[in-house]
Amino acid sequence: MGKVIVITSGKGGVGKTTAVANIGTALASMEQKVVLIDADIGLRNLDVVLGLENRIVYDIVDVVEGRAKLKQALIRDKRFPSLYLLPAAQTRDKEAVSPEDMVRLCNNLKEEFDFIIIDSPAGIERGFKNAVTPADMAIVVTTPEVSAVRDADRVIGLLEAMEKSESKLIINRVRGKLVDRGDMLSVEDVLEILSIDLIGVIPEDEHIIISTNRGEPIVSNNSAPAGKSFTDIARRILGEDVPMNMYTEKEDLFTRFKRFLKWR
Amino acid sequence: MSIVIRGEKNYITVKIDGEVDSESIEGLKLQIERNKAFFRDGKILIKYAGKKIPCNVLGEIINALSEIENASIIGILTETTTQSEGNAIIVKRTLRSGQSISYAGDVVIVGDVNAGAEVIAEGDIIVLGSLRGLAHAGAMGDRSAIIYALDLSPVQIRIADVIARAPDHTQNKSVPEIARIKDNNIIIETFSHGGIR
Repeated sequence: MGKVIVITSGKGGVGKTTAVANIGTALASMEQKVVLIDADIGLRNLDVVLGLENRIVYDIVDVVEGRAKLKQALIRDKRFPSLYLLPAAQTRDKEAVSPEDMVRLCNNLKEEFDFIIIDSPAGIERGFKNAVTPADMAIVVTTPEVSAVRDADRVIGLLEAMEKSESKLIINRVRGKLVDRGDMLSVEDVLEILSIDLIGVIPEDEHIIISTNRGEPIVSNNSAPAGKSFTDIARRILGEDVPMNMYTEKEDLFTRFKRFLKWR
Repeated sequence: MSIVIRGEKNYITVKIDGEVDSESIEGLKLQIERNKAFFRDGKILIKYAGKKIPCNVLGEIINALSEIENASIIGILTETTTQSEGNAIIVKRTLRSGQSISYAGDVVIVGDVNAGAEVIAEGDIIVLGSLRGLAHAGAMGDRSAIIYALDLSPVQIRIADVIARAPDHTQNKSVPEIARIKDNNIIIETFSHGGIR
């Protein structure tokens, strides 16, 4: 039986879709059978980030309304054969799918896949309920900004009310230099407010912009720090104990000494 | 010197103010006689506005009350007991943004009250954690209500009809503090030992 994971945030633009694409790709590269569901009906993005836009024939609404079989709508990834996408409809809205439809859909997918990862839309309305209802586990994405943390807090409260017991946190776009200067919330500050388990910290990384625009998930790029962090998250989801990098750049005496030698 | 009778939600209070003479006992008897239907099956709470209630006074009042059909006394309160009279709820979790608690009594929160959450109490609010959201104590007008938190850093606090907002530049401190009304303003003091009041 597969596990259904929803990736959500409340606030838009904090990196839900990027997280779904990269964690999904990383899990697929570890020989897991993964399907990604884009629940952002009317504002679909996940297909673009994965570079699969041109292959969409049927979408989730077609499946729910019986115009297509589930198998027909699933798109196989071009790089990883064990990764699939169930795209959102672009010409419809969130009301086209109900939470019950999502549960039914996920129950079918659970039989064949190890992981079903749902990309939740921003907001806390119907689209959010659709995305969260079938989930066994929720990953809340936030950035170290007061507004994003506030929305994450709201979403965690809603998840608790829906009795989703397993909630984890990703803190995205952390900039070590700003944190060290005291100009950005640190990982500890965010955890103090949200008080849920951390599953990963992603540093700000311009490789992300390039990879998103190209439609190639960053985890396939070994030199990108953000890619490494997403891979670590995938390993943690599989139960591995991977040490957490907090991305502060405070220098200890040793590195300062090394730098001093180099400078000379 | 008077005896005042009030119907509460589930019971009737008999409030005794000052010394009781035979006249006010007669008055009570008369009221009972006139409002038989109101008193019938009544659960009665006796409140005495003093620290000690004389036995003979209590005896006379109970005598008068015993005229009521099927009445029972559920409690006798004096000034020394009224402090603990109020009811309170204990909330053993963190209140997150968008969540709210309102209660006709004191509220004790074992956890944080995050920004965007709100707590409204007719009595006191005690937060055993950080208070970052909105707290309104004495919401029905009790100006003696207080707000206590291990870390008091709310955006805004309200006590009865007085509102205070956080200063625009907050300093970092993490000591237990109490907010209360003094001279029509909400003041915040660090908590010193020896009780909240």
